[in-house]
Amino acid sequence: MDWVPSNVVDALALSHQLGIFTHIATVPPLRVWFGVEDIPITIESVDEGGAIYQGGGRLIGLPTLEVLVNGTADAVEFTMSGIDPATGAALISSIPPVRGADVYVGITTLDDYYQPMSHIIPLWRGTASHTTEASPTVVGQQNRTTTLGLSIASGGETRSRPSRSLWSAAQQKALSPTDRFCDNTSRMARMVQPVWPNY
Amino acid sequence: MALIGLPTVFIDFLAPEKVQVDPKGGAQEGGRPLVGEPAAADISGGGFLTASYDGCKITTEEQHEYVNLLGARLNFGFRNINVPIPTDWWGPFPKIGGIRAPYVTNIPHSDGSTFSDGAGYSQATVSGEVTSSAALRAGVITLTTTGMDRRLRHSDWFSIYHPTKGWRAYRYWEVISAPSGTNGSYTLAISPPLREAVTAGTRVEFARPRFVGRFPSDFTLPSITEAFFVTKQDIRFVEA
Repeated sequence: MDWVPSNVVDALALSHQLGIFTHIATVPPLRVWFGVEDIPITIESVDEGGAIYQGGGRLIGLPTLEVLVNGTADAVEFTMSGIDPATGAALISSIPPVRGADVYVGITTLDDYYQPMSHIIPLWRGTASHTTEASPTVVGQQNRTTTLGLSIASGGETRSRPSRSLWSAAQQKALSPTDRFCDNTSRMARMVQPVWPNY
Repeated sequence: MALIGLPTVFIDFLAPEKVQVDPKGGAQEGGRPLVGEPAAADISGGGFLTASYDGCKITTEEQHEYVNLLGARLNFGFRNINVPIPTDWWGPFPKIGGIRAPYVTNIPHSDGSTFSDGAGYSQATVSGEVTSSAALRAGVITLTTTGMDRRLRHSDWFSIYHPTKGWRAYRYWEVISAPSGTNGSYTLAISPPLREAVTAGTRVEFARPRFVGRFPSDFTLPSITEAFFVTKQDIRFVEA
């Protein structure tokens, strides 16, 4: 069978109803889809039977998905706006441990009677990295909004991995305490011809 | 916030000039194609209901008080209220005195007497009942009706009182099967899909369908006092 079933492909070729689903594997998992109200549906072998995806279409922003599906970015940010600053602060402080959790994004189409035409087809898998919060200043009659974000990386691109700016012995020993690989780098500089050590 | 056990907006008392009820959703476009008309991709899965009561004529003291109550309760959009949809004039109700009547009023006690103030009981003229249970987000329901004056044929609003999601309004977009007479067992394809699973025997309400609503986040209802005490106000709701 194809990864995307042929009936879904056929539906996508015409005007259709698209369901976009996100599963964040925290404990308990967060299941959100981008429509309105709840929908019972599963990702095979990821969700247990009877899982219900909550309708988050009024909260969650969509624009990052295009970047994500086309694979031109290795980290994307899911945002949620329309909450007041106090709620946002409470959410951030009470959020379950999210770093390193698997994140799945999948789609399926809905038929004329709003029923999903297949299981959720997982298109993208990432790893949750860190949360962000922003509440820009507004002027006049504009509504103040808070935007909460969850940065999600694909592959091994987590923000927690330190990068070395200098190949110094101190930095190398911070990562691997017994490694002496960089011990003699201080002797190396431009215009210096080091003598190959003879241990 | 609470979705059940809510009061209902007194729509008759507010006397709006125009009531608009419309499901809103989100459709994505992929940009303008060569032929100029892009394909539609709805991502909301049925959308959510919005309603607006336009030109509510506020004249009496009590109406001013009531508008003040609505503003006090609903401003900032975090408290809910049941929002009725006035279908009295074109719903499937029998005609009493030449006008379609969703309710029979002034029903006396069994001995023919009324309450001390002259009022009687009232009762909906049309009743419906779900005949087989349907799952969360089902798009097709079966129901049986009594008391209708005409068949369910094009589309009508109705509502169901769910145990946790409260009142939700639906309408049908396709009659899949219908009884031979006016009343009986119908199978209807509904829009939007069911907000909560229903069991057989759940009442389907055709008289004044209603849904749990709140104010949109960009809307507040001001308390207005105008010279000569006549003012008109628009009130907007979205499904909670």
